[in-house]
Amino acid sequence: MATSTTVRSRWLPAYLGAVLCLSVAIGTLAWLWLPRPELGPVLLLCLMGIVSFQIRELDVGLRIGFSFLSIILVASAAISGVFGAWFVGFVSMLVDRNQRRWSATMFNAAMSGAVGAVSALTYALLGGVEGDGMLGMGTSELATSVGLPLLAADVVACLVNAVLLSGVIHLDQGVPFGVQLRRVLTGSGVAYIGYGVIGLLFVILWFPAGLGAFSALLVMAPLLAARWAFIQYGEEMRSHERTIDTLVTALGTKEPAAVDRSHRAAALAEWVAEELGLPPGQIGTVRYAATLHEIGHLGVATRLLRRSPDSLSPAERRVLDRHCVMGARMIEGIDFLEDARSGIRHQHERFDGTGRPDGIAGHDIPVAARIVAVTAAVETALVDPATGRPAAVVDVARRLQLDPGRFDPEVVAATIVALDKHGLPARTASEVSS
Amino acid sequence: MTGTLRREPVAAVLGVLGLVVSLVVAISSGDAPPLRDEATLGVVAAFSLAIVLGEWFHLAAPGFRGAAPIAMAAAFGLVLTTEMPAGVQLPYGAAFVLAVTATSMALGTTVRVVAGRETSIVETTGRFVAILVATLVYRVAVLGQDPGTPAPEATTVPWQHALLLLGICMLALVVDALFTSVMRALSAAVNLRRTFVEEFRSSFALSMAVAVTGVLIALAALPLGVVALPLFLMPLVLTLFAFRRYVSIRATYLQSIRTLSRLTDAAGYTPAGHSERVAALSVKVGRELGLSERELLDLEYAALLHDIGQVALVEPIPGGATVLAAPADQRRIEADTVAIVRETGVFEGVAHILEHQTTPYRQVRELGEEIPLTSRIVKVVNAYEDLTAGARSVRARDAAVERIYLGLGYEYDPRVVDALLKSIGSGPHTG
Repeated sequence: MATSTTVRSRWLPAYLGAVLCLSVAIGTLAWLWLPRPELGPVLLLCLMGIVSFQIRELDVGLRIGFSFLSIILVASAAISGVFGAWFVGFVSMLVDRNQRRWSATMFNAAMSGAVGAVSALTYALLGGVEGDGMLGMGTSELATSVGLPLLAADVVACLVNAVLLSGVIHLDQGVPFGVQLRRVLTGSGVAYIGYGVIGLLFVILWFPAGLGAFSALLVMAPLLAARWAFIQYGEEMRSHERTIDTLVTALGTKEPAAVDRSHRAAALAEWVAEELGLPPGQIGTVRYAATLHEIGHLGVATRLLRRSPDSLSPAERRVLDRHCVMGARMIEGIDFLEDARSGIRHQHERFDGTGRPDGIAGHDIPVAARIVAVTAAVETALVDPATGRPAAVVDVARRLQLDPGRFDPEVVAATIVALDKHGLPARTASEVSS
Repeated sequence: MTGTLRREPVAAVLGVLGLVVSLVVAISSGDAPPLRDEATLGVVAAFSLAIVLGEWFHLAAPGFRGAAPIAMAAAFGLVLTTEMPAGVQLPYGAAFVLAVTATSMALGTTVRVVAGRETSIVETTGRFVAILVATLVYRVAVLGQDPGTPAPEATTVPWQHALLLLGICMLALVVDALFTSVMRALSAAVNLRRTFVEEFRSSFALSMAVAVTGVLIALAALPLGVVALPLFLMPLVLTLFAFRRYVSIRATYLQSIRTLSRLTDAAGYTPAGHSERVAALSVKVGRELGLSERELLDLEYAALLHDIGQVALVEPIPGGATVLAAPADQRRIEADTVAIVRETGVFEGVAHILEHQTTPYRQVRELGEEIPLTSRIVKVVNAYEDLTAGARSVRARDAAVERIYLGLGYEYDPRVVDALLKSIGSGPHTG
């Protein structure tokens, strides 16, 4: 995944500090003013939280991780109350072997503590009954005093988690806040709320069914089933990435320089799509189209690809330009790339409608194609032709605006904003030296 | 596939027998609850509906043991639930439970058959056998329940009770795996012990989830009543959606293989349809040589992808025939092919086959090098397809076979060449 060091906001430390202080304050107040939980259940829940965080799916794409700590937190709200839920959340994320930045670990702990406390508070405010209070309740009473408040707590936890997480990603990686929030909610929101039901099952087994701490063992089965489901989600993302990587590798065996071009185009196209505020699915499509925009070169004779574009005759130029049609046809039959195909086919269309292959104009051109056109142009403008040195962002921006009928002005504007924020996509060391 | 023809009727007869016997016993022993007891009938109807739906939404995918987790968990729940909230006892016993389960399973399976969906009678009967075992152990042996009367009160501590129920469900699932492996062993010459271990291992995780869910439904029915059924089935329903994803992942990899195999055609390096022809013929030859289904799948993929390294060539080889290229060029194409296939990260077996697709057979014979049989098949079939160049005339075929004979024992494995000749319907060459 493309990252850039220039985009980290100077507000990030302040944000991290504020979340940490707020979370610790909530925990302290809950300890002082609210009933304190029993030690045994809290320790058991902490253990489950630590284990579930350790075996989480690290990345299921779109910078979202998955763990069933959220399920444990929802259950903690009804089992151990506000302080208990805060403590379980805070402690579970403190043990993190993969995270080397302590500030990130502290933020994660503060965030999940806050999520636990807020969901427990929601549960209590909606009349949720804690612990042994549930014993001897009838079915309808259990529904109104445990079930509904717990589901509401689950939804609130999901929202608080999404907001805090999107905030830190916005400040750290420059992804617009709204885009990231939608990503988190559509990517994991449904699963978060759906699997929260397991938290309710846990609570029912613990108190009304009278199993006590033994329910922790039994609830492992549904939790592991949920984990398997999370893994499939991640595997699906990975299967897409692998397919794309394989196609790029195939292109790289014919035209080695195309691999780096593909990766730069993908990074830039994703930034631009984020700037335009496209929905998460479309951002993926744009990225796939940009990564594979030159895949049709596989069908062009290598001697044409090796010559400089200026020395080609008009007939040879037309053959080379056919690569987008060929590329779109080559990846036909891969379901998840279906939408990206039109982005590849129409990358040489002009916004004023005089381009190839179909001469479509304006917003009839798929947004992926409009973005790929601009990112490919940025690629050719990366090196200043006069000096041979890397070009500045202003020069790139000027060159994009030279031919007013070529590009979608909205996309050009978004590209310039993205370039200002992230800088030009880095050229790799091997290319700079050659 | 004469085996499946024989074992399906056996399983069907056993299944129908179980249905009829349980119905007859339930009615004759007076085990069925009276029709005016609407609360009890409502509970039974809910379980029955869950089993029918569970049979309808069962999991099936190529290379995956079929399972109906929702039906099984609901059926276990029906077997183990004896008490509802406020001390209400359910007034039926083993025979009635089995009759309801058998009827519901039969109904779900019939709906599937009528709708033209794929069904396995062996697996459905296996599930019924598991429920039969669980019912007999719990209701008859442990509880000693009389027909038509409520089950005696369980006196143990809740968590010990839970462990007991879990043990019964696990035992039942082991019997299920045993039953299906015996049925498989009946009709095909397979090792019973190995089949059983494979059956059990491949379904262990899901079986565990099913057994626990069944137990949890029964335990939660005590405070919650019949609401426990949909609530505790929920995680399994979510797993069902994840299974769809699992199937779509397989599909994505298959689609990318097909796309990759067409790349060299599209780019004009190989004649149209070359890799598909090599794949089809390789599989035929592999069958002739008695490869397992799993090896055949890898062989098919390898054959589809065997030429894709050609995309790196500056100028296409005339006719895309690697067999005519210089050995050094063949090696380079092979290395590029393997590198591309390795990038997928999931087709290690395929990459392994492709690594040796150009190695001459001589190196097996003289140097004792280990070259997979599948690699040797790809080598021979590719040579044959390159030499015939898609032509199907007898003359083209004989000319190609003749050239392969020139390299027999040196380039090509004679066993594979024999199998090829059988597959293309040409007798042993006499020339």
